[in-house]
Amino acid sequence: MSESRYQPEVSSVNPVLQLENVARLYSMGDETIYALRDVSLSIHQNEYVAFMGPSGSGKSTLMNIIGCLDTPTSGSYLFEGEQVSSMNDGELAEIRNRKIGFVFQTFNLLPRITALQNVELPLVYSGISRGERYKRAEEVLTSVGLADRMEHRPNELSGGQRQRVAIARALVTRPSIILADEPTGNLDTKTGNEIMGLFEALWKKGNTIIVVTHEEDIAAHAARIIRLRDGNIEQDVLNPNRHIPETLTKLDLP
Amino acid sequence: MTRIVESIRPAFVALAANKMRAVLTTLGVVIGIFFVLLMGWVLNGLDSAFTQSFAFFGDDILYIDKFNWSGGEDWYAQRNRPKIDFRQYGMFKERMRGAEFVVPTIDRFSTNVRHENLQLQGSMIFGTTAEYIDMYSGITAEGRFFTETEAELGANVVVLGQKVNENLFPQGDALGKTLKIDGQPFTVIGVLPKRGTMLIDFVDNMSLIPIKRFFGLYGSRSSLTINVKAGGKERLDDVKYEAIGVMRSVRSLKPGDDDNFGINSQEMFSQFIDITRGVVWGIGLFMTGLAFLVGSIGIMNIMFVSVAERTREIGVRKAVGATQSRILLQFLFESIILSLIGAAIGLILTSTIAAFKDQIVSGVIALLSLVGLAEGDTTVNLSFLSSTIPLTQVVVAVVVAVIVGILAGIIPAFRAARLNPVEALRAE
Ligand SMILES: Nc1ncnc2c1ncn2[C@@H]1O[C@H](COP(=O)(O)OP(=O)(O)OP(=O)(O)O)[C@@H](O)[C@H]1O
Ligand SMILES: [Mg+2]
Repeated sequence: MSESRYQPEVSSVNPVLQLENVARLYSMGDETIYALRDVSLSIHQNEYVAFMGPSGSGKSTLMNIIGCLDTPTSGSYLFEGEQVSSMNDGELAEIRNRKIGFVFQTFNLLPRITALQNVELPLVYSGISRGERYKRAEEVLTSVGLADRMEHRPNELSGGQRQRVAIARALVTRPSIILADEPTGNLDTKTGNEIMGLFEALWKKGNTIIVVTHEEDIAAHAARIIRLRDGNIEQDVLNPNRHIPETLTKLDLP
Repeated sequence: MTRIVESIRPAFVALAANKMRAVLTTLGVVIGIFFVLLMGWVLNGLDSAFTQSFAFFGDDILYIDKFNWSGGEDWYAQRNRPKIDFRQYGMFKERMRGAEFVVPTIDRFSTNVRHENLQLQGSMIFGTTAEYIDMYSGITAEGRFFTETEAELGANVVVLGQKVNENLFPQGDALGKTLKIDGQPFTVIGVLPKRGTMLIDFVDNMSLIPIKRFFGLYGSRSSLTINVKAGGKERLDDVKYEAIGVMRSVRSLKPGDDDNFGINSQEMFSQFIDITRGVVWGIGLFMTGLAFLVGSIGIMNIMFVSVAERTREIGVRKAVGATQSRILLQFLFESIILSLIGAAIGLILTSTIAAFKDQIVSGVIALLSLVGLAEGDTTVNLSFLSSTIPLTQVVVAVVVAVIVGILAGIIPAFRAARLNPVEALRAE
């Protein structure tokens, strides 16, 4: 196991995320399900990591814990050096709001409001003024190539466009970490590649990217691949032959 | 502040998506607010009707009478009290120092007053002295009141109340005419202005004649009332105290004896007012409470549905940084707005009724007379009710609606706020 563990090149720098013996279990009546058994890992600033593994291996569970949407049943999770389990709802919400941008397989846009309003949503919760909110949301939507779709509702957009709105929403508070749970799972290969191009550009700009995927092609974009099985880390390796997407989306973020 | 504004917006988006449901949900609140406003409106009307009505009596006038008007304790004992006769009035007036006016009145119902072929049954004949008109404002609408001489002589003159005047002289030509009261001829020398309201219209349904003539006509068996005007409300207590003493001396009561007469004032009516108010309140509160109970259950129910339908939305909001309190506020506002929509509808409904009260009542009467439940020419005087809902009532309604909204929304909102984000995102 230890030989497969990835050792960061600059070990003196503190990791942004540090999980130590994290377990997450669910009690279903008298049965206990281990979504995560014993996971330890560290991720540093500007890493590009892919979580892989068969269905039910615990990828999403791990992602949710990292994203402060869920908390470990046991073990320790330090976010930027702080113990997440001791944080209250307000502090967790603030991390989700400012430090983390979530991208979901099913986009999770609010159906009744426009693309622009969807992108504004995180800013509403960071207490940004209306004018500033509009400006920033417009900026980000433009940078993901949706300048002409801002007033559209989600059901008036294609899957790829929806995912780009979702990415814009994830980016709008300028978080350093982007978490994407099967972001291309509902998209065709071409559109999926465009989305991966966006992540590539974000990574180049210094963001930390964590992607959950089933597909080797998608995982190939990452610099580090972590494979899960039955709630444990099976393999944690650097990706020697990174795939750099041809459609390197230009991303003019401020 | 911005937090509040930001919490209101999604509430409107959500409600707009289900307009019909929103309106139907508020039905209970609509009815509740409707009752609150209606009750306030009627109570307000009653209050002003009472004040207007009893203003006629004057707030500085005492009525020494055989009976205590507030009724109450042993009415039988009161029945056996000696009557107040004209001689006692004379003695009382002579000894009374602090009063502005001391005027005797005596009345009798069930009389027949006729002029040519028009006649009036059961109106009131009122015997009094010339001072009566001075005690009550001193104004006649037409003609004049009888003079001291006429009163002293027991002349055959009559001053008509407005209603008697209208009934017997529809042309308004009463002055100088001779009419018959229980067969005896009287010359009309004056007409009083309208003094009554819906609540006490007997004051307009009377004919005033010299008290001496009254005794001539009906004998002097019944007891009279001594009207004592204090000349200012602040003097009322002093005058009352003196009047009791004087009346006791007139009656030659010994120190240990109970008063064998009643001292009454306008305030006696406040009991009657309080009872009426109490009844309106009781009915109103019951109906309102019931409506609000139904209303808040309706809103609570729909809020639970709303939370369930939007579980995923809640998950998304949490994932992008909404705290529990923001989610709580959002749903609480949704519920308050729902309730306020109900209040607005209720307000519109009640205002419409207030504005068209007369048309509505005459419509109802027309309808009832169609099925034979009412006389076609029945009229109801609703002038004591204002044609707008008072602003204070509106404020009360809004406050009540907000409270109902909070009470109905708090549990669903808490449920929404406490949703686990991961599970919420997995919903549907
Ligand atoms: N709320 C829950 N209650 C009970 N069991 C759960 C719950 N959530 C997850 N699990 C279980 O935990 C395990 C890991 O689930 P998880 O969603 O993390 O898998 P995954 O690797 O993301 O799978 P997939 O690739 O299918 O998305 C599964 O066996 C799942 O059944
Ligand atoms: Mg998953």
